[in-house]
Amino acid sequence: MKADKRFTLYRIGISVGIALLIGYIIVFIASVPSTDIAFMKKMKEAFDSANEAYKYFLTGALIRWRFTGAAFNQSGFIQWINEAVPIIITGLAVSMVFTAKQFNIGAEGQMFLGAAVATAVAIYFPGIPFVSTLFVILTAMAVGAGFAAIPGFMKAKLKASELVTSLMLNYVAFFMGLFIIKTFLRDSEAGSLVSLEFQQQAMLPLLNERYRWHIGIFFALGMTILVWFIMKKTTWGYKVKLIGDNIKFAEYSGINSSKMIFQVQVAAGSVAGSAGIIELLGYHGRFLWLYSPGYGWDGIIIATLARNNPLFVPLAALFLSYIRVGAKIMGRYTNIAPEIVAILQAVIILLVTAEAFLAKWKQRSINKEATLKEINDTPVQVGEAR
Amino acid sequence: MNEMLQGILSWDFIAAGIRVTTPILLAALGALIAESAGTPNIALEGIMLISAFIGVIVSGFTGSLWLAIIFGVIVGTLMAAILAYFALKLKTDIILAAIALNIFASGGTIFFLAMLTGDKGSSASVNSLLIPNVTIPIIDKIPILGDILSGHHSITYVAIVLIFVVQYMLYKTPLGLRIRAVGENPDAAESVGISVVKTRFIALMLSGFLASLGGLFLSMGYVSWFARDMTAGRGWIALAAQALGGLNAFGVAAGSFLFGFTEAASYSLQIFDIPYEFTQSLPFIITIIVLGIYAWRKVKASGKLNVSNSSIGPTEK
Amino acid sequence: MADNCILEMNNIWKIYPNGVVANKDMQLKVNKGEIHALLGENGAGKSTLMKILFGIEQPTKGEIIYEGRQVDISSPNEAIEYGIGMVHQHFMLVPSLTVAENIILGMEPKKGLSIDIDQAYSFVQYQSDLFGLPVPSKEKVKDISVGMKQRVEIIKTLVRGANLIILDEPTAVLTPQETVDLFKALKNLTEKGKTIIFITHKLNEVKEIADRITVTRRGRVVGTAKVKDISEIEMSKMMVGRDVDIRIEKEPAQTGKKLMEINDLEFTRTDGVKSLKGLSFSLREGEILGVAGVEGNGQTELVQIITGIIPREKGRIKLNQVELPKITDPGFCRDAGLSHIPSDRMERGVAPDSTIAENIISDRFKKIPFSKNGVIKWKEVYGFGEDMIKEFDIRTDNAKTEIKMLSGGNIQKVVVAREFTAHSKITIADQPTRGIDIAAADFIRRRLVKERENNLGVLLVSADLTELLEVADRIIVLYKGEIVAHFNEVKQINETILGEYMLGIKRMTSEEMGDL
Repeated sequence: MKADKRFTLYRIGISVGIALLIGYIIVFIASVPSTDIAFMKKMKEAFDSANEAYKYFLTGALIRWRFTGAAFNQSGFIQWINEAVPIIITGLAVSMVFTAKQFNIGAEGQMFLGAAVATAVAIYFPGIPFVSTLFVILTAMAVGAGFAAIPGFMKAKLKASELVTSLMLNYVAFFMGLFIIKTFLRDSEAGSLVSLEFQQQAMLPLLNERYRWHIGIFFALGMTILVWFIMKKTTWGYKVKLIGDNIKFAEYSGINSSKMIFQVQVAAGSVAGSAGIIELLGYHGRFLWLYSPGYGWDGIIIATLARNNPLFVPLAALFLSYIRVGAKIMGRYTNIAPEIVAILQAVIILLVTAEAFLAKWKQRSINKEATLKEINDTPVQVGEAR
Repeated sequence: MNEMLQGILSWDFIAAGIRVTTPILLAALGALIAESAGTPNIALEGIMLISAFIGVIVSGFTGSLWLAIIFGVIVGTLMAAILAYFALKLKTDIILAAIALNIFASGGTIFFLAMLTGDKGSSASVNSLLIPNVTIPIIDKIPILGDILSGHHSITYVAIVLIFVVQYMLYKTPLGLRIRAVGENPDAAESVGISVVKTRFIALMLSGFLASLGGLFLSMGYVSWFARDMTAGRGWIALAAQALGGLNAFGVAAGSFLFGFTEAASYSLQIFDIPYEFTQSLPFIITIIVLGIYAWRKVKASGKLNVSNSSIGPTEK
Repeated sequence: MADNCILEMNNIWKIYPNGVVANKDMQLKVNKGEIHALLGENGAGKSTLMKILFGIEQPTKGEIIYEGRQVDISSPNEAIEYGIGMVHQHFMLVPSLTVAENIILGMEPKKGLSIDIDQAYSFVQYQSDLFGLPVPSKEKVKDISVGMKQRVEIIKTLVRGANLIILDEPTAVLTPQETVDLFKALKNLTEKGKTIIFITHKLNEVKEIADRITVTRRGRVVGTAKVKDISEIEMSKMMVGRDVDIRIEKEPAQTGKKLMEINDLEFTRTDGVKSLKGLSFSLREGEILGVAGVEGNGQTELVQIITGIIPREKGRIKLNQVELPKITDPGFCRDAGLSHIPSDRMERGVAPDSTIAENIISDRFKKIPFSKNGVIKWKEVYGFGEDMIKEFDIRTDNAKTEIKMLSGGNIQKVVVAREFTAHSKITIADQPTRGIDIAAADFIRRRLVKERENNLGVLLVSADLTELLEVADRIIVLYKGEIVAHFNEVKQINETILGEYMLGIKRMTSEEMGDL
């Protein structure tokens, strides 16, 4: 039924709208000046500066505002595309496990540990263009897959909730990754805890030197096509979908659900494993994370927004990175911290996944359709009530 | 080796274990109530974090300890109410809703911290207060017993008392009976006019209340400041402790102490040459192993290997 | 008559979110102090109507007048406040709580903050004495019998002040003795002024206990009558809307070699009940073997073991000469040539968010032409889906429709489309026509007969005796996990004879049963 899809679209649109509105209210409150002036004047000032902040927030990634007028913001645009790269990849990984109705939230750890181990390869593997890049990425993917195998195994064989185990493993991955960097790969001349620089040949080619626009986006889009193909066109993807839709039905049809759950976790782990190293290879040129960057969690938001459809994942990721870059630019020109985006994200997930949100509206139109159909049906004979 | 044993068996170590257990225990009791009602609360982590933040900020800006505690608890409970509202009224998947709240808590506390203090890392510039320790008169004079029983943080004593209160509530009061009925067979509860939504709402709010006490302890007892993501997975460990302890407050408390003392041991181990990252990940590794063994035993007992009967999934209806 | 009327439901419509219309303009009038039977086939809308009355479902349209007032019942809680109680088909009890705790749930006597458990026990004792329904108040519900659970349910409604009690197919799960006890208790309750609505599809029960009936069919009310004014045949005509004794024309069975051999099969449920006690029988080419029995006498376990869903405890199964392994593996059974129409299509038979075509290929997606080298040929899949829609008369726009958008009958047609085109030698049909419309049921029965004419074997498990007698060539009867009867000549028996064996009144010797 088309009505179903239409309502999904409306719901996403309205959710985003509400989130932006809540964000505006917060910005407005934060913009109220503390100076001792008349209330109306205060409101006027808050209104003006909130509008100004939101202008940067909503358009800053694309437009550079000058006194003389507006111009294309090349740096913002490139940042927007670059920041979308890792979260497209984690979004794909999460959408794979979500399709099987599994709750692996370990993409964060898989991404982090994959990047840390692959850093060693990027530093020490002989520098051959493309080959070393490929080898670095494959290493990260292997690590991600291996790490995802743990909750996958525990769920498939022991029926241990993958939710808690994969989450615990995120912390283990974080500490292990930091340990590897600190102990073996640390650049002792740098002021902070960062790894040695990668071999130049391992780095991703750049499209723009000044703002370091790297070709990671093509990797991410290639990955999107690949995941889309696997999930939508292969028997393997079909099995994953059936398991997510009705696992008892899948088993009854002869599908080995334990094996499939393990496989999908590992496959998604390998995808997630490459998310972090791509950014390091393209942009930073070394490992420099002291906090886990949160791309795994972003993957959950993106997969949810994309309704687990791989083709929608880049769109959702570009949306998220757009408001993030906008928030950073807003933070540069105003006193609003870019972490406001976390609040918007939370509101969006809550509303987008709220089944009953706008459901009454939806039900009303279904009722209309059904009653119409019923009237056209031949009525069954109704007997006399005695 | 001898040295290590001494480190582990000292009174300081036991005191440290109890201290570390306190927030886990409170959150785990919250997890117990939520789980009993059939609505797992995955947002404990975020709720603790928000309460920890509110406590520090309110005490720093008002100078009132009581206001800090009251606001910390109210906001934490409110978070749980939001979770309940979305999960129960708007039919958001309860796990996704909780993940959203955790993201909100993690980013939101940094945002508000930055807006209020200009610092994104910690609340060092805020002059916040501490909830005091309690010295029990007379008992604290008794040699060994005094070391064990006296001098702990007041929230620790509250947590210990709450083990009994939660157990009593769940198994002796009308509310507890209703919570358990709603958790085990919601249709049965509905059929006698018990509102499933209302009961679950209450259970989730109670779990939020308990977790918020744990959060307050972190920033106003364990240390005296707020730092970004300072809960560091305790809300999740609490869930694991509940899973181990089952639907019984004493079992849950035992699970919490197991994890708390593992964490305390990991600190003791730092005096040796074991890298900090290993000792830090020890509690998580132990949790995974224990959960694995526990699950394995359950699988063996039931003899079923089909995944379709697993309990937590995104679309449990 | 008007002042004697306790309940009126007028012009009730119910349309579910998936567009399924359960109630179409239904009317119901119930008099005070009577036992009113609500008669209808599965899926006739009678349960939905009662769920609306009890506030579980909200009507899309319509009004309810209770004790002379128009009421708006938006929750079971409100229904209870009005004095309406309901005993559901699936018991609404909390297994780990005691009988007393279940009864006082939601109205707990208090002592301070705690539940006053002593008062709870004496309260339950007093109430059960009052209504003549003794229950073991200190035992946990999971440890008591089905009949006892039902009693607990009835007390639950009574202690909440119910004057109108709805019983949803109360005898479906009871033994004959328990049924007798229940009917006695119900008569007793009407003498005390209670009104009872009794949902059923069993005509003999209506005759035995009800004062008046309302018959429903396909979501509409067909009519209301006094039971003494109407014969069972008239009732059944109203219920099904055609003469039930239209037989499916079929030639006598031409049986061939054994397709399935079951030897000494045993199974013990998790609650310790031994539900299969050394079952042995075989299924031959070209026959439909019917399995009769009151629900819960081992049929579910039998089907689930043969189809590889649950592991057997003891015994051997041969499908097409292939020994079934002890571990559970439905895929193995399918490869060995088994099709399975499961009893609960929504639980196991379909994936609701997937399309019709995706559902139909779930057992054969690996085979050419549906996929090649692991890549699915969607064009072929949907082409096949469209073919199936035509062949099996599935009412929908196209094969891309999601299963959840279909009605029950059409969903079942999707299941049978898959299972009948799997080219299996053996079909296990477990309640294949349960809860679907008559046309769809008729279609499915004819397909079953066609299978047999193609020299295939069908094991038909059904609670619908008419169906068994119409379709099956041989019938075995299960009672408490054992085969107690075997009929080679189905044409010579009737429901009554089957019923005697199903209820354990009679039992054949092994000589009488002959070769199974």
